[in-house]
Amino acid sequence: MVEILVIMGVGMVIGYLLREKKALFAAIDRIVMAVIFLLLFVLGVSVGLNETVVESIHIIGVKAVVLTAGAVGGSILCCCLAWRLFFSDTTEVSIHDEMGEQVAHEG
Amino acid sequence: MKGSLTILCCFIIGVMTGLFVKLPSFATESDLTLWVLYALIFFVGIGIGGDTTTFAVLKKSNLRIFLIPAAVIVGSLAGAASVSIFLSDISVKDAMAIGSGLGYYSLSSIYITEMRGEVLGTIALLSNIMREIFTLLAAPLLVTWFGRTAPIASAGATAMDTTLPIITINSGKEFSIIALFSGVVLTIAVPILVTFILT
Repeated sequence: MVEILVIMGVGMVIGYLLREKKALFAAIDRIVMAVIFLLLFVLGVSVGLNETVVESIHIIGVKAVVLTAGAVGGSILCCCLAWRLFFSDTTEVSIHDEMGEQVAHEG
Repeated sequence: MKGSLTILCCFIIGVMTGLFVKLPSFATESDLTLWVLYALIFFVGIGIGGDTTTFAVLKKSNLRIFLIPAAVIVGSLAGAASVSIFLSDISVKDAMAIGSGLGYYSLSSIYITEMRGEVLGTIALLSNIMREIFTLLAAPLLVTWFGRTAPIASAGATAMDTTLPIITINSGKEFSIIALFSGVVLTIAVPILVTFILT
């Protein structure tokens, strides 16, 4: 599946070269949405034709919930940990400073 | 939210078509989806490459900010892998592939279907749509319980578009730039991660 990465890379370079053409990107956003709808429809068709999936859709749903809980829970814990460990000096005030915003002083 | 519901509708209409409509063989037996997937990847690449705000955000932030999307990736993969103990017929590797969708359901489910078949692809689709919808609904609770980076972690790749408004409202404007950055990095990471985990 290396071709996927190559295709994406080529797309990114072309996109970067054409970055000034704003109208083009509005069109591309719409093309992407249309292609996604089409692909999901096709994916649905192949699912509908697949008897294993159709017969076990309720089990598949439960599995999806379990995996979502794992991925979301893990990412939240890991991210909070990273924030505490490596950004402990980054208070809200300093974020405001980095963003160049006015800092409201207490008192 | 509206987008993910439309996606879900397209998928359900597709399922109904597959179940009840007699389709010609060229529609069911060709490599058409693979080529459409290539086209999609190409256009997604153009979109990312041409997005000037993406590069502005990347340039402005220091290296440390990469720790946030990195933590989201590590946490998602480890979390999905560890709950796979409860799912007897899903291997750790497949669970990690689904976790590495990071909420980018359209791309990850299509990839996983191509590489592992419809069963796993459907689980990936549902799981990653749930991730987006959960983030949209639970963002205020996540901030209260786990702090202001929690919705950014939960959002995964969607933090750059669909869930960005809700993160900005609940975590605060100063976190929106981190959310955007994390979402951009994770969006680029999804196809790479899924490919590496499944090959």
